This record gives sequence, C-alpha cells and structure tokens, in this order.
Amino acid sequence: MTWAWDYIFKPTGKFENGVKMFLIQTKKLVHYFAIILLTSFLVSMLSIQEADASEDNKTSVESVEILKRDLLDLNKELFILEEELLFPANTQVAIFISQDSGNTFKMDHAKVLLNNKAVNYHLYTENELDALSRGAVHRIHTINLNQGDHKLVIIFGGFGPMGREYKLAAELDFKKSTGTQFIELRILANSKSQQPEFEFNVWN
Amino acid sequence: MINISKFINSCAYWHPYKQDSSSSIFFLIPESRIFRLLTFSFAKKMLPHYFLAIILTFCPIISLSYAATESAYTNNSEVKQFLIYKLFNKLNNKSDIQDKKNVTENIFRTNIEQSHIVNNMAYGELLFYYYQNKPIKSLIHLMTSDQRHRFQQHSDHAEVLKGSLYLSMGMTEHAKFFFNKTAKTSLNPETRNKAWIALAGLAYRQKNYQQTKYILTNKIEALNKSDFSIKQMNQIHEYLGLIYLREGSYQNAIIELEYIYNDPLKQRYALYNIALAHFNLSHLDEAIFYLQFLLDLPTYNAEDDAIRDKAASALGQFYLYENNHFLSRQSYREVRLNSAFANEALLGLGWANLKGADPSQALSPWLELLERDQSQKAVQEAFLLTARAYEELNAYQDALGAYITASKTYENQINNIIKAHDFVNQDEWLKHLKLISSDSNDFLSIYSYIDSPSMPLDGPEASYLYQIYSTNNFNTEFQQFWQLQHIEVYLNELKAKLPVYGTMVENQSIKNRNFKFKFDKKLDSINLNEFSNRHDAISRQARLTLKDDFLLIATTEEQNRLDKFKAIEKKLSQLPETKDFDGIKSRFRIVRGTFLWNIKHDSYRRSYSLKKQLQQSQDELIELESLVNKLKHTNINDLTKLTDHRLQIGAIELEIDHLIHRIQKLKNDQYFDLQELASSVLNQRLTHTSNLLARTQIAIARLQDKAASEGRK
Repeated sequence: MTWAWDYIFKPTGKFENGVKMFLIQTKKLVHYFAIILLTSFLVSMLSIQEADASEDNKTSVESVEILKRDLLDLNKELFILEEELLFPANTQVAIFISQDSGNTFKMDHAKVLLNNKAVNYHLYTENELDALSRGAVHRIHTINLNQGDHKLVIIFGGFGPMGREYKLAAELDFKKSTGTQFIELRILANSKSQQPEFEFNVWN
Repeated sequence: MINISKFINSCAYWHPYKQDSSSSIFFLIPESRIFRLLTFSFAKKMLPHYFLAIILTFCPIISLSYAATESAYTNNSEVKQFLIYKLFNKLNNKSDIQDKKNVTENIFRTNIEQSHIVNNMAYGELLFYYYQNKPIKSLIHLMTSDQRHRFQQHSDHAEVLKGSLYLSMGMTEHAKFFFNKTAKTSLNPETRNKAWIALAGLAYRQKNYQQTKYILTNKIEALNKSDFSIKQMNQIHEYLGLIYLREGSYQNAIIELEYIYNDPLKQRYALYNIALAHFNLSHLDEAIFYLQFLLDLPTYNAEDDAIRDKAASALGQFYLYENNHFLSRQSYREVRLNSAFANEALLGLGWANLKGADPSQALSPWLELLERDQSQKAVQEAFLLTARAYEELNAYQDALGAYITASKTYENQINNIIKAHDFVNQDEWLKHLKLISSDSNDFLSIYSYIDSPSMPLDGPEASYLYQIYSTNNFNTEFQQFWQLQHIEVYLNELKAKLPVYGTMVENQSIKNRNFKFKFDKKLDSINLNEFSNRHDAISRQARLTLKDDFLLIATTEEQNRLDKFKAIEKKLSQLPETKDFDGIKSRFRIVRGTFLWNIKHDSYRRSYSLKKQLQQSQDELIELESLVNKLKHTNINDLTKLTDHRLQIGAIELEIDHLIHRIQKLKNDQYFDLQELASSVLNQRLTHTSNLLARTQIAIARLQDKAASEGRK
C-alpha cells in the first residue's frame, strides 16, 4: 500500500501531481475504510448469530438450570423487597426460639406477647421440633417497634419427661435501640431439676 | 470363559424365541432407589411394582454370565465354612454390632452437640428450613443472608449447604461450583472431606467414574475414624466398589464392598454385588454362598424382599444355565408370586421343569403366567411357550388352541399398543397428568396426581402407559417437564401476588405523605441557629463574667447579704471618723472580708459547674442539630427508596413474564422429546408383539400343515 504523503512529498514529482495523486489515494483510503467497516460489521453480526446459536444449542438440562437460578434470584429480590417494605431495618425486631432441652421438655406451642398484647401463636409440627432439636433456630415473630422500653413475654405449652403437661412463661424487659434487633430465647435443660430453663440473648 | 453374548445365545437356544434381556442378572445400584421412589409417584396402583423392577433390573452394569465358567464349579466345604465364619463375624457378631451401635450413637450425639453451637441466628434459621426439606425457602434465605454477610463464622458450612441445596434442586453445575469452592478454600478438614464426597457423588451420578475414583482415592484426607460418619464411610466404599466392578477389578470391588457395615440395606446390596464379583472371578462357591446367604436373611421391608427375590431369581437362572434343574427350581420357588421378578421367575421355573422333568410340569407356572397382565413381555412369551409345551406333549389339538389364543392375545395387545400410541400422540397428553402444590411458596414440594377423566387408569392401554412412565429415560425427562410446569404455576401465582407489593408501596407512600407535612412543619419550627446564637451569647457572657467578677456567680441569698453589707457600709461611711466608731468599722471589714472570702472560695466550684452546664448544653445542641439533619436525610432516603421499590416491582413483573416465556419454550421442547420417547418405547413393544404374532401364525400354519399331512382334522 502506498500512502498519500509519499506522493505529496515525493522528491521527484511536481506539487500539482502530488495533489492529484493525494486525491486519488484519499478516495482509495475511503474505499479501504468502507471495506474494513463492512467487514467488521459482518463479523460482529456473525458473532451475535453465533451467540444466539449457542443459546439455542444449550441442552434442556442447562437451560432448566439457568432458569431455576434466575427464578431463585427473582425470589431473593422479592424476599428482600418484602422485608424492606414490611420491616425497615431501623424498627425491626425479630424474636427467635431455639431448644436444647433434650427430653426435659417437648414443645407443643408458643404464644408471643409484646407489651401485654398477644402478637403471635405458633403450633409446632414434628418436623419443626426435629429441626429445633438438631440446632435450628425458629424465627417466631418479626415486628416493627419504636425506640424505647418494651416488654416481651413468651408462653410455652408442652410436655415434660413423664408426659406431664407443662405451661411455662419467659419474660424480658428490653430497650429497643436504633437498628435491627434480634432476641433469642433458648430453652435449656436443667439436669438437676429435670426442668426446662430459659435464657434470653439480645443482639443489635 | 463364556461371555455375555454366548450366555444370552445359550438362553436363546433353550428358549425358542429371543430371550428377554431383563431376565439376565445385573449388579444392583442402591443409591438410585430413593431418588426414583420420591420423584415418580403418579401411577399409584402399579408403579411400586415397576419401581422395584426398574431399580433392580434396569441398572445394568455387568452380567452374571461373565463369570460363569464350565469347569470352576467345585464343592469346597472349607471355603463355605470360612465364608460363614466371616459373614457371621460381620453381620451377626452381637458385640461388634453393639460397639458400632455405640459409635453411631456417639457420632449422633456429637452431631447434635456440634449443631447446637449455633450462635448465629441467620444460620440457625437456615437450618430450620433445611432440616424440614424446604430447599427453596432454605436457598432464598441463604442467598439473602449471604448477601448481607450474616453467616460470619458459619460461612463455610453455609457454602456446603448451598451446594447440597442446589443439588437437591437438580442444579448440578451450581452445586459442583460450591462444593469445589468449599473443598479448596475451607480451613476445616472435615468440611473439606464432606465437600469432596459430595463432588464424588456428583461425578458418579454424571457417570464420570474416573473422576469419582480420583476424588475418593486422592482427595479425601486421612482423619480419625470418628471424624467420619458411618454413612460417609459406607458411601465411599460403595462408590469405589461399584466403580471397581465396572472396571472389572473384581477383587478390589469385593474388598471395598466388604467394608460396608452397620447399614443393613446397603449391606444387602453389597452382598449381592459381592456375589456377582465372585461369579466374575469364577469363585462360584463364594458367589453361590453369598446369594444363598441373602436368601436366608430375614426380611423386614419391601426393599429387602425385592433384593431377596432378585437373588433367588439370579441363583435360579445360574442353576438353569448349569443344567442343575432341581436347584434352579428350588431357587425360583423362593421368588414371591407378587414380586417384581415373579413373571421372569415363573418363566424360568417353567423352563427348569421343561428341561429337568416332565414337560407337563412346565405348564403350571406358564398357565399361571397367562392369568397375569397380558401387556407384560414374560406373559406374552408364556402364551407361546404354553402352546409349545402342548406340542412337545403331542397334545396338538390343545397346542393349536393355545396358538390361536396366543394369536388373538397378540392381536389385542397390538390394538392396545396402537391405542396407547394414539393417546400419546394427543396434543394434550401430558396435561392429563395434573399437579397440585402442597406449599405454594415452594415449587419443588409438589405432589403429582392423576385427576382427569381423559387419562386411562384401568383401560387395556393403561398398562402400556404405566410401563412408559416407569422407564428410566421417561422418568428423567418427565422430572424436568414436571419441574418446569411447577415453576410456571409458581410464577403465575407470584405474578398474581405482585399487585399486593404495589399496594404495600402505595400505602407506605400515602402514610409518608401524610406524615411528611407534620414532619416538615415540626422540623422547620426548630430554629437551630437561634438556639446556637443564644447559647454562644450566654457562654461568652459567662466566660467574661467569670473572668472579671466572681461575685456575679453568688447565690440570691448571698447577693441579698452583699446588698445589706453595702447598705451598712454606706451608713458606716456617714459616721464621723472617731475612735469610738473605728472599732465598729474594723469589725465590719473583718465580717465582710470573711463573707467575701467564703464566696470566693465557693466560686471555683460554682464556675466549674457553670462551665460544665454550658458544655452540656452545647453538646445537646450539637446532638439536636445532627438529629434534625438525620431526620431530614432519612425522610429523603425513604422517599427515594419507595420510588426504587416501585421500579423494582415493575422490573420483577417484566422478569416474570420473560421467565414464563422461556418456560413455555422449554416445556414445548420437553413435550416433544417425551412424546418421541414414548413413541419409541411403544414402537419397540409393537415390533416385539408383532414378531410374537408372526411366530404364532407360522406355528399355526405348521400345525395345520402337519395335521393335513397326517390326515387329521
């Protein structure tokens, strides 16, 4: 390829000839650019088509897997949205129950009272009790509370070691500060008295 | 050595027609059983029967006939005694079992104790859903908590759980990614091992046996025995045993399978596979012993019974092949009449009777077969064999009658296959398999049931349809179709719920607007600058005062006294300068001096207190200022957030529509695949039945020719 400036500054040629040749070469250059542009456009079109084809060529197993992942992402988004709308971080208080009471207490139900007002009642299934016995934690209630002092009472119903019916209550006075607050009530076993014990943990 | 084709050919030699491949003996793969039982439940009446048949028959690896040799069969009582000793030590040694039971209990207890060390509410909540087998809820909770970095010290465990949750949802590639990540990054060797075992399981399911073997032999770290659960150990040995069987490394397979303990069901499968490995090694005594041992073991559930039936059937077939018809009959008789292998056993029993005794004795099992479901291959073959037996007994009239009956039966069955084929080719075919959700929030915990008058339940073609549904390929494909259908239902439900979110945002917006007016008014009324200016003025004045005149911080009472002192001083100054008054004036100066000294002495404490109060009020002012700013800022943030939420809801709606569109496309593809699969199964059956019909018609023609040539009717 001969460049335009070779003609302009050609030591042997005249200036007019140089200009003429420059114009000719400019035309040639425009053609080259047009060809390059066209080629690159075609290449990009082909690559897009290839991408589409690879999408189509995915096996149904892969497609279903991608679909499931998208669905999970969607669910996650909705979950976060729901939580943000219903329980803003600065007012949210979540109450959890965990159990490590062995055979001393088999929980049947739990009732949550906040500031002397019943807010939730939960009847435990066998699956839930099994999960709790394996170390899981149950979020029994989530609520929005103003900053300040509050009173939480949880009343449990269940059965003791000899199948005796139990009704127990745990009480906590707590201060709601700014930010999300987690309150955990752990039901523990007192091996001496063979009675369940309660322990509150509060996290901010 | 006799290879499999020779074995099948030899069967075909005994059998006038092609031997059905399902009656040959295969290794058992226990790991697939639960998966299938859980995921395929729509053929309520007949599927349990088919399931066991699939599990025990359609998982072929290597045929028994690899092992069958013509010369190696010797009766060695020493071997038998040794094996009895070994097995009884392994299975019936009470102290050993007791020890292992203790180990299991300890491990269980340890697990409970370990799992109780959950000091993280997010992780505990995840376990709550995980232990209840709610994969979607668990995963969503996991992803959300992960995004908010809530797992902290449990992040490793959460990664392993994430892998297994993805696996339970059939998302193998995602599961693989997370297991790999944990296996390579976890600091805990137990967690690493768990992840490697899960990866090995995945590779095994994907039939990548070399990879499975590589992981199990190279990646699992040597730990104390108590660091592994018995279940994990058994799983490792089982995978390795099955892989060695596939590779033809039978001795290694036996060693691995013998390690399995304290799991009665896995041990039964292992015993069966050990027997087949011994057959392959030409250790016929040991092989027979293991199969016989399985027959002698008491059974406690349907799966135990099925393994026992399979062992009996295998033993019967082996003896039949060995021409030991008496033992073959004995073994076949051990198979229960209602089992999945009963048809094959009856067919084999007939053959054993035919070869070993009077052909008339072959008739009784085959006649029993004729009373069974005519769509079954073994039953269809029995029709032809019965006629053949009559022929061998020279009962030509009965033989002709039997052939004609067989011919009619085959014609009927061909019609049924065509009907089933027509049903399968209907546009709405799979839509007859309706679905119901047990929990609308969890699209995987859905049970299927048949609830359509268009779906043939008891018709002649129903049997063929159930046979299609119970094939492995159909089952796998349908699971995906099934899941897609559930996802579509779930997404439609979600879409219907979306306006609720919109309403929530609107309500919040109205509430905010009402509140905003009061809020802004209140905020505007707080003139922080005025407070600040006043405070500055006071503190400046106070500072100057404290510097210049300490008397200004005197109390009111002191000020009154000071005033009195001034009045007295004024009066004293009016008195003449005489000696008489000098004493009074001097006393007055001393009293006033003492009083002022007292005030001066207290002034340090008082000025400190004043300064402190001024500082406190300044701090309060700063706090008030920051609170007001924060409130103004929060207000703006909330409003922005609500707009974001509105946009987010719109985006989610669009995403749902897009997903539904993708699902419909995938569903259509799957639908055609399933239709093609069903058609191919039915075409195979059609060809098989047509061949039987052709053979029957040839036999009829042959008998008629014979009768004509012999001058009989």
